[in-house]
Amino acid sequence: MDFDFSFEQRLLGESVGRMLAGFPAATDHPFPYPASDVTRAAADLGLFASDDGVPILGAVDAVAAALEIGRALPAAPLTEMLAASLALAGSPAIADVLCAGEPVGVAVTGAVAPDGGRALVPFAHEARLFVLPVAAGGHRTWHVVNRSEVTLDAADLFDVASSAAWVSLSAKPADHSAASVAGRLDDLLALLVLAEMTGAAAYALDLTVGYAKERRQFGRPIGQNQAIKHMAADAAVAVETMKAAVEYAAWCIDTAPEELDEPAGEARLALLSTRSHVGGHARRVAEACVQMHGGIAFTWDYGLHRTLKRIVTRQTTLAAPRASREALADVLMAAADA
Amino acid sequence: MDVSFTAEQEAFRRDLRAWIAKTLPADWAGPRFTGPADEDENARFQTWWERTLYDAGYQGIHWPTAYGGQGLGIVEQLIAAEEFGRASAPEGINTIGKELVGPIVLAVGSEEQKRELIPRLLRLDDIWCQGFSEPEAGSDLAGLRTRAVREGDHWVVNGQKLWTSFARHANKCILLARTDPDAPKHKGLTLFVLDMRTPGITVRPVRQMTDRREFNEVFLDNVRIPAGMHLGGINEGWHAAVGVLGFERATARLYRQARFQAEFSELLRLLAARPEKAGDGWFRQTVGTLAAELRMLRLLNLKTASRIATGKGIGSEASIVKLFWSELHQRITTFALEVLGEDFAAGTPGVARFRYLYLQARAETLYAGTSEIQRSIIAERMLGLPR
Repeated sequence: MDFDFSFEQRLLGESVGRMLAGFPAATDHPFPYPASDVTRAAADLGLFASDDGVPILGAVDAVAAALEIGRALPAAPLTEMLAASLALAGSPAIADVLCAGEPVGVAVTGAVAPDGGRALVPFAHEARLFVLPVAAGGHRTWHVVNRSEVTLDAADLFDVASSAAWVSLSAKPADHSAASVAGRLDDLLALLVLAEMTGAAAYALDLTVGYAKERRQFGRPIGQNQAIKHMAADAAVAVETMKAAVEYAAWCIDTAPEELDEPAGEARLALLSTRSHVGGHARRVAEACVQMHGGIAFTWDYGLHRTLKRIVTRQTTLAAPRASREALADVLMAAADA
Repeated sequence: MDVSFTAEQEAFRRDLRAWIAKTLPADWAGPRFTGPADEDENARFQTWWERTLYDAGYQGIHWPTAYGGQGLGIVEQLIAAEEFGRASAPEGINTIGKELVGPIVLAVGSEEQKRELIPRLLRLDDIWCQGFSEPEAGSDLAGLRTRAVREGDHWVVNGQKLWTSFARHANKCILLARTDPDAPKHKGLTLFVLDMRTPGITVRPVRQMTDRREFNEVFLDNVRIPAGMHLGGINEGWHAAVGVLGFERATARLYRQARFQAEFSELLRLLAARPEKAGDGWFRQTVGTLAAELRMLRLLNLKTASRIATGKGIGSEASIVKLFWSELHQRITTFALEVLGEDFAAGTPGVARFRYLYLQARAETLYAGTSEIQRSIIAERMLGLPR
């Protein structure tokens, strides 16, 4: 029993954090650097590497990295590519591109189909290759699609630290079956996005605690007020449980991924409860952090809105807390009925 | 990262689960969920349960064998807690001894005290109660007024204690009293071992909102404690009492999660029997939310066990666990109101357990440090916000 990151995992998180600290905060278009600067730097750290079709990083390693991505929020699809590199290391159509750190467009919501449909893809304008869910005959499978096969329609994204486009198929891809990719992209994408949200919430709380120690009103630091302390304590409880949740779900996925296929498998239940919990609490933490700061947090330049907006964007797309609670209720009520 | 149990630990769990199934009364966890309603009959039952535990080798699981413990690790303690909780097993009559006195004695007691008190506690030769809180010293425990004055080879104690669970059944009390009235609040306190048969002690049960009488007032009128019957140093009682509590706050209640899980499962059965609610979106969302939160509590427990097992220790994390479990239990028992609806108010078979738990959960955010105290501890000691 050692429910904590290993030395190597902590080291990985630290080096990702250091690498991302080298990029200025992105809040206004055009961003101060192309996404490929970040994705290549991440590739240099081996974040997307695979060896003979097997990803170098496990889910727990990736969570350690995604927590740091959430803290920094770089203008690049790092979390999405991290998930793709774990899920699709065995797909020659994409593994090399990921490995090299070329920006890849991974859909975060929606699905495309030959006769319509669209998917939301972060940093689509900078991507050469896309990984899109294609809906056909009631099924939804992930496909690798070339830039030449899609049409982009810029989205007005709530998240200011990202850009995105609605992607639709411009022509039927030459050979669908060949481009289809197996893997657990849906689950890994959800897991790492939840870790990113957790890292973002933890960052917001750290920033807030630091501010509450310095900012003085009525002749004393605002952090001396019990109203602030108790709000911060509740946020800390949320952050601790969120961290434990993403770490444990990742460990389950590393240890017994086949249990994702069982409706009541441990990995499946761990992921669903993480979606329910992180999906709800990350936003509450960020909102509480705005409240604890006071007016400064409402300004654009202070930057806390980046974190809030990223979390809200994730909650309303990938985290899907409401659907996950319904899925949990399904499993549990079926067991209670039996 | 490794959140697994070893094969030996899994075997320990299997054996214990089988032992509990064959040892607990067959109708346990049904109407008898808290033991007999009669206070004395219940005391006899709870005593029987703890002696049976001791005989089977399930008392003092992570305490040293030198003092009668099993010498196993904190992970085995967690497993045992989960299995007892899963069966909603009786909490026993000596929880104060096991959860509070034992750890304090092991931490600050003399070698002689360890050899004397720990085995007696495990065998249930001693049943303990806790004399800390007072009418004017609740959350502000350091404000306690009970005085112990040295007279020759005795201490003479005068004062009043409140919320003293098990005082009617206990033969020993771990008593916190002021020995130096001139010292600052947190100094000048000493922790004593008090024999409850000493003249001058009056115990008066307090009727609680659950209609049970577990708590007592204890009046101390010129009670004489022999010199030397103190735990830790004279005037160092605050450290002895409170320093150890943080660790215990995190580890003593590990069984709660499995207990709440068992209650929640029962609640889901009651919900499934009410189709108009079982299909309702609000109920299903709440089921999902609470199920996820129960899992979060288990992860916090696993983290706690892991930190202790790997020698990292427990600090203000203990307050996070206490705050989370006590408030989660209120959310679960409040959900029971919604599931049971008018049956909760009017009374049908099966509601008694949830009526009791709903009320009992009101106490849980108050005792062992209120939620507000826990929040302040988290803010000041973990986050470092200014006092």
